[in-house]
Amino acid sequence: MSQTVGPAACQGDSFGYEAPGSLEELAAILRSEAGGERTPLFLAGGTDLWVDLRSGKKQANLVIDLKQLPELSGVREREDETGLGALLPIHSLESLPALGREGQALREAASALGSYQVRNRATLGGNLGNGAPTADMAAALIALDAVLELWRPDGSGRRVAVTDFWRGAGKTCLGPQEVICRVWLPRRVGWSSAFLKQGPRRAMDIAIVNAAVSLKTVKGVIADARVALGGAGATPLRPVGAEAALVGQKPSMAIFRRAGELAAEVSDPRGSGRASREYRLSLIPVLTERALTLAAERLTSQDDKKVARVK
Amino acid sequence: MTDNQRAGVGASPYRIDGKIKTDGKAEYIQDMDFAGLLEAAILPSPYASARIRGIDCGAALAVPGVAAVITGADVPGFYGTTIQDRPVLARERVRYVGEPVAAVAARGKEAALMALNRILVDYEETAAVFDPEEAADPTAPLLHEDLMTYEKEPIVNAIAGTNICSQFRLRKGDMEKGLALADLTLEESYEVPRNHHACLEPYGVIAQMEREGILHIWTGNQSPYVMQRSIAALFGLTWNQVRVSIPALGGGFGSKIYPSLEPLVVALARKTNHRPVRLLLDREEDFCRVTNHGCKIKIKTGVTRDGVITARQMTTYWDTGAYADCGPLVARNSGFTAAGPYRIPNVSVDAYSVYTNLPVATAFRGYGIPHLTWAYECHTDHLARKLGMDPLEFRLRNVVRNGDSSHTGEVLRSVGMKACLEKAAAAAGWVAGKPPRPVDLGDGRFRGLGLACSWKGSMRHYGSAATVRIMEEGSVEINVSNVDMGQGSSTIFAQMVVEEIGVPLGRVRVQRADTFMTPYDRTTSASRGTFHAGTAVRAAARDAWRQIQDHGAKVFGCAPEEVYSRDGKVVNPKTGEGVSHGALLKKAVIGGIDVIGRGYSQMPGGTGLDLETGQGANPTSFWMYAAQIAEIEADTRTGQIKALKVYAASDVGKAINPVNCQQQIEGAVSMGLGIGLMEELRFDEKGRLRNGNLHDYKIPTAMDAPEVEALLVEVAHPLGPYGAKGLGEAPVAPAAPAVANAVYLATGRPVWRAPLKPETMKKIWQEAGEEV
Repeated sequence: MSQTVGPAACQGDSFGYEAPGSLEELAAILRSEAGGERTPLFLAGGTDLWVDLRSGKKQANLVIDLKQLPELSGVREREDETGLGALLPIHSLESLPALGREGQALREAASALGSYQVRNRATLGGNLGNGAPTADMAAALIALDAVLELWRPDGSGRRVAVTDFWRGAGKTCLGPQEVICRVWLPRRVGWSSAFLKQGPRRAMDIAIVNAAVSLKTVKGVIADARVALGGAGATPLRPVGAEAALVGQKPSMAIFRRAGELAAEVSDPRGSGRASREYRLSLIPVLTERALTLAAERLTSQDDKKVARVK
Repeated sequence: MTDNQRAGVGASPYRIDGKIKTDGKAEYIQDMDFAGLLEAAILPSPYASARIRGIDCGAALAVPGVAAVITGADVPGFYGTTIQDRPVLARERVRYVGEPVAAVAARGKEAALMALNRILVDYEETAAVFDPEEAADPTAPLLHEDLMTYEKEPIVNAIAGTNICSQFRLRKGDMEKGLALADLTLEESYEVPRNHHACLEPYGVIAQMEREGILHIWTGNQSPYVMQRSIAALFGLTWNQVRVSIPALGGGFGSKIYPSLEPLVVALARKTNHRPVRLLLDREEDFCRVTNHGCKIKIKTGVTRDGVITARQMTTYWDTGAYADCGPLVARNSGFTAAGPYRIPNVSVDAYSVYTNLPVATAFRGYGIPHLTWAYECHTDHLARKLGMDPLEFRLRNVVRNGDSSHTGEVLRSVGMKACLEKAAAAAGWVAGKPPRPVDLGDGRFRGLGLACSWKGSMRHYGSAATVRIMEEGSVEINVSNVDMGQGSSTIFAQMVVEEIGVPLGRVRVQRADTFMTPYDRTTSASRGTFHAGTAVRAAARDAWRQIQDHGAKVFGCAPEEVYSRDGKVVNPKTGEGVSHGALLKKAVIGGIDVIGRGYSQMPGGTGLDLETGQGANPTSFWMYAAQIAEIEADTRTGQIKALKVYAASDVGKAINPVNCQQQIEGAVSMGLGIGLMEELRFDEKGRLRNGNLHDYKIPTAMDAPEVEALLVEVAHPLGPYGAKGLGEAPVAPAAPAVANAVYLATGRPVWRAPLKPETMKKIWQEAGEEV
C-alpha cells in the first residue's frame, strides 16, 4: 500500500484569497464566482478554518476574508436591542458594558472559550457559523433570546431567531453565499443570566457540556425563563419543558433540580473521544441546576431581594 | 526575592539566560539556518506489526530537489541505550506505528513530502501485542527473536523466548517470615498509563558531514557525550571526529537524553555531499517519537496492628515499547526504590521491562518513580484506613531515617524524609494523629487534604568535568557539558563561581555544551546537574581562585592564602584595597595568558546491584526526598477534582538558589498533577495514537494549576557542593497520589488507576451511590 503524508489543502494552482472592504465588494466577488468551480469558504478569526485546512479536514480553493467589512464590526445600540458585530473578537465580549447585567451569561461564555490568544482572534460570528453543538457562544445567545441578522449578495437580508439557526450536526441555516452580519440582543430589564461549562480541563478546551440560563422574577415568582444546552444533542438545545416547569414557581433547589431533570430528558448527546454519551447525560441536570441557582442569586430587583440567595 | 547584587550561593539572582529568552533571542534549533540546508522527512509505518515485503523508492528519487532517499537496506547496524536492538530504519519488519521506514532529504519540506508520498511499501500485517503484562507471557507474539544475541549493557537481564528485555530482582530478608509476622495484609493492583513529556520545543536535529571529515550534529539533546559516543560507534568514527553542539533547549524532561532520530539524520547527511540536513518534527510527529512508560504494578504489604510494615512484595510490568532504549534501566533504577521510603525488613521486587508494539518509551522526569509512588502511596493510605490510623502518623512511624539500611542494604545518610513530612504537615496544619476532617459543602462537593511522600535515588557516580577560565580583561567563562534546558543549571554554576572567586555575576558566562569545546559530562539527567557538574564547577573555580591568589601574592607581595575577595574585587591584604580580577591579571601575567581552573567530579565507592538479589551498598550518589499535601475540592456530581493548594516539601540538601528551587517544585507539582488528573496517551486496537496533539492530549493549563507552597528542607549531603542534593525529579511523584488520597479521605472511594478524569470519577462516585 502507499500512504499520503502531510497537508493536502491549499496546494492547487487555482487557490484564491479575497479580502473585500465592503459588502458591495463582497457581493461583486460572490456574483463573479456564482456558477463557477470555486466554492468560497469565509474566513473571520481563522482559529478553526486554518487548522482544518492545514490538517486536510477541509479543502479550499477560495478563501474570502471578512475581517475588513465595516458592516460586520462594532456594537450598535438601539432603544430596545443591542447589535453585536459578527467580527467582534470573543475577548471583547468578556467585559462589554453594552451587555448589561442581564448579559452576564455571554460574558462568562466568552471568558470560558479557548485561550487568551484564541479569544483575541476568534469571532462571535465564526463561533456560531461553525455550527458546533458545543460552541460556547451558542448556548449563551439562546438564553439571551438573540436574533441573527444575515446578509445575502442580492441584498435580501433576513433576521433569524438564534434557535432556528442550527439544522443538525455542523449544519446551519446559512446559504452558501450567506453571511452573519450581526447578533441582536433584546433589552431584557430585570433578567439575570448565567453560563457554566464542563470541559476536560479548566481552560483551553471545548465543552463536554455547557449550560446557559436566564430568569426573570416578579414578586418572588419566576415569570419567565430560558434554558440552553450545548453538547446535549446534534445542535445547541433549548429544552422548553424545563423552562415551562420553572414559570410560576418560586426559585428553589427543588424546582431547579426538576428543571435539570427535564432538560436531560429531551437531551440526546453523542459519545466522542472527549466524553461518553452517558457522562454528558449525567452532567446536563447538574449544570442546568447550578446555572439556574447562580442566575437566581444574581437577581437584584427590589422585589426579589428576599429570594436573591437560594440555598 | 531576586538579588543580583548578592549572587553567590544561597542568593536568588535572576536567571543568567532569562533575558535572552524573554527577548526571543535565545537560539533554538528551529532558529538556526545554513546555506544549502536540506530538509528531512520520515515515512512512518502505518502498522504496529508487519513484515516489509518490498520498498520502491524509484519515483521518490525522481522528484525535483530530492538529494537522498534511504531505507533500512542503506543503513546497517543497531543502536540502543541499553540493548543494541534498534535499526536506524526498519529492516524486514516494523514494530510500531510511526517507526521510520524510509527517509528523504530534499530542498524544502514540500519536495521532501512529495517524495515520501511516492515511496511504495508492501506490508504484510502480523500479530501485535500492546499490554505489557500480556506481552510478558511466553505465548505472546515475539517482537525480537534475536533478543539474546543483541549486544547489551551489563545491567540488562533478558529472558530468552519472551518479550521481557530485562528483569530486575530485589530480595531482602525473608518474605514468608515477614508476611507471617503481619496482622493484616493488603494486596492491590495499580496502573499508570503512558503519558507524554510535552516539551515546549518539539524535537529537532541538524547533521552535516563537514568537508574536513568532521561529523557535526546540532541537536536539542540533554547528553552530548552519550550522543557523540553512540554515533561514533554506529558509524565507525573516532570520538574526536564527532562534534555534538547543543543549542538552546526548550525543555527535556527525559525525552532528549538518548539518541533517537539523530542516527537517521546522520545517515541522510552521509549521502548529501557535505550539505547539512535538518529534521524538525511537528507536534504530531513529536508525540510518537518517544513517550513515558506505562506501568502495571502489583503490591502486597504486611503490617502489624501497631502499624509497623513487616513485608512488601512488588511486581511491575513496564511497557517499554518496540525498542528497549533505557527501559531496562528504568526498571532497575526505579526497582531498587520501588518499595518506597519506608523501613521494611522483608522486601521483594520483580520489575519487568517488556517490549510491546507501541512507540519507544524512554526516560521521563522521575524515571519510573511517579508510577511507583502512585501505587505505594495510594496503597499506604488504604493500609492506614484498615489500621484505623492517621495516614501521617502511619508514615512517620515507618519512614526511613539516618542510619537505616535501605532495601539494597545501603546505610542511608543525610535522610530528610521525616523532615519533609513534618514541614509539609506543619504548613498544612495537619497534626499527626489528628487528620484534618474533610468538609462537606452540601451540594455534592467536598474539600479535604491528602498526603503522599516519595524518595528517589539519582544514579551511580559518573564523572563530570568543568573548566573555569578567567580572561585577562576580567570576564569569566564556565565550560561544562551539563545542558540547561530550563531547569536553571547555568545560573547555579555561575553562582558557584561567584561564590568561589568573587567576580560579579554579570562577568560570568556559561558556554553551551559542545563536545569540541566543553569537557566531558555523563548526562544531564537523574537530577544530577547541581550535584555532579556542580562539584566539578566548584572544583574548577577553586583551582582558578588558587591561581588568582598566586598572582595576587606576587603583585601584592604577600602569602597566597592571605589574598581574599570582597564586593566583586580581589583585595590586597596589606592595604585593604580591592582591584578587579582583570586588573590583577594584567599586572601579574605576561602575554595575555588566561587563568584556567580545572575540576572533576569523581566519587569513589559506587557499587552496582547484584543481578539476583538487587543488593548493593552504594548504588546511587545521593537520595532525594519529597512530601506533599494536596488540598482538593472533589465535585461528586460532575466528577471534577480541583487541586486548590499543594504544600510541597523537598529535601534539597542546600538551596544554591532558593527561588529556582521553588520554581522547580512548582513545575514538578504541575507535571505530577497532569499525570494524576488528566494525562493519558490513548492507543486504539491497532496501536495507533488517537490523541497525539496538544488539543486532544490534555496537560494542565495555568487555570488548572493550584497555588503551590514550596517548602525547602536542607539536610546537607557530605559530598554535595555546599551540601546540595539534586531536586528536579522527586517532587513530580507525590502530587498525584496526594490528590488521590485527599479524594479517598473526603469521599471514601479508593482509586487504583491514574488519571482521575472527571468522567472516571463521576462513574466511581455514581457507583458508590448513597455512601458519598
